[in-house]
Amino acid sequence: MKKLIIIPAYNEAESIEATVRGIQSKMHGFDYVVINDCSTDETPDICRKNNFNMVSLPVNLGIGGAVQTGYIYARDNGYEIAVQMDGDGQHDVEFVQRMAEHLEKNKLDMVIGSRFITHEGFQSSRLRRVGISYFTWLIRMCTGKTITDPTSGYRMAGRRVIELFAQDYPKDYPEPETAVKILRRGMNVEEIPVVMRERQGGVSSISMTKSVYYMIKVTLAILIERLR
Amino acid sequence: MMTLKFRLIMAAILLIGFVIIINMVRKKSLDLRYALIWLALIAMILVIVIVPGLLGVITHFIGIYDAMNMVFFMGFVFLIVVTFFLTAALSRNSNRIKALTQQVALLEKQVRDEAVKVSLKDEASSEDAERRI
Repeated sequence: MKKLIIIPAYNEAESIEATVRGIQSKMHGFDYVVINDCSTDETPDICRKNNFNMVSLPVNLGIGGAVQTGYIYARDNGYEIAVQMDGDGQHDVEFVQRMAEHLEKNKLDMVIGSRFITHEGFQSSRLRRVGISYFTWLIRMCTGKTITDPTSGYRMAGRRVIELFAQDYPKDYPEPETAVKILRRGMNVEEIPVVMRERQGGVSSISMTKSVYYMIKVTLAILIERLR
Repeated sequence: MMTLKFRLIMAAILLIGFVIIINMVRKKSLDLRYALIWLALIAMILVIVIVPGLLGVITHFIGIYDAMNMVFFMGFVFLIVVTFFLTAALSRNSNRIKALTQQVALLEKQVRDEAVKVSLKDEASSEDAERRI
């Protein structure tokens, strides 16, 4: 089974080499592709020099468009599993392997890694958890299914989901919205427990002002998805 | 209501606007498709300016007391409609650009990979040739 790791990169010159080397050495059975989202630093040069497998966007598309390029690449090259991994050290290699096993064994369309099954590791702030449980409730209202961690970045796609994402993927904050999209198409989604670490460097892309936009945008996106 | 002087000034402004739009279409810096709405606006205002009393008739027909109120209201509605369709056109274009960007990037990768393959093959065959010599 061909498995792909999608690494979106925007101005990651300092970390991209370590990220890719880490994935090459630890992720057995996985191929990878770096999606350079028109970085203005040396990210593409470093990838070319090291002969990393890279798709380089000529125009900056933002995270959604970059990740979608990864899914198009996965679709066109016959991958049956694809997972997005960012370079910020939040994703643990061990869990990705475990998710792949779970997906293959149970013939699922998507596996989500959830922090809130065993409640181990980094649990996010109280305010964020309120937001997360709100989305869990909203998704249950729309689909009847329970996703305990709808904002989790651990999301592994099977072939059908790869094809869906290659065709249609949100421009930003895709996690809860795509969960609804997939569930409403009757695909099989399961969660397995993961332990998340607090990010090692940088800040979350979702700041205080942006969380208001996040809540409204994702809520609307889910409700519109419900109407389709 | 409108003085003759004002009518002449308005007609002159509309004529200048008309010439500018036609010229831009001619130089292809404005799509005829998008110019049509502005040409239609000019034609409408021109009719109001030329026909005396028409503005008053329309105002009365819609049920607004003052002609100026109606002019402002109509202008406002027109601008909102145009802006709305601009955002729709913008969304469509950004989706097209996204698809194009992705296709270009994936093709560029294929070309780059082929080039690497060819250069590796060239190196191998030139080494072969050296060995044979």
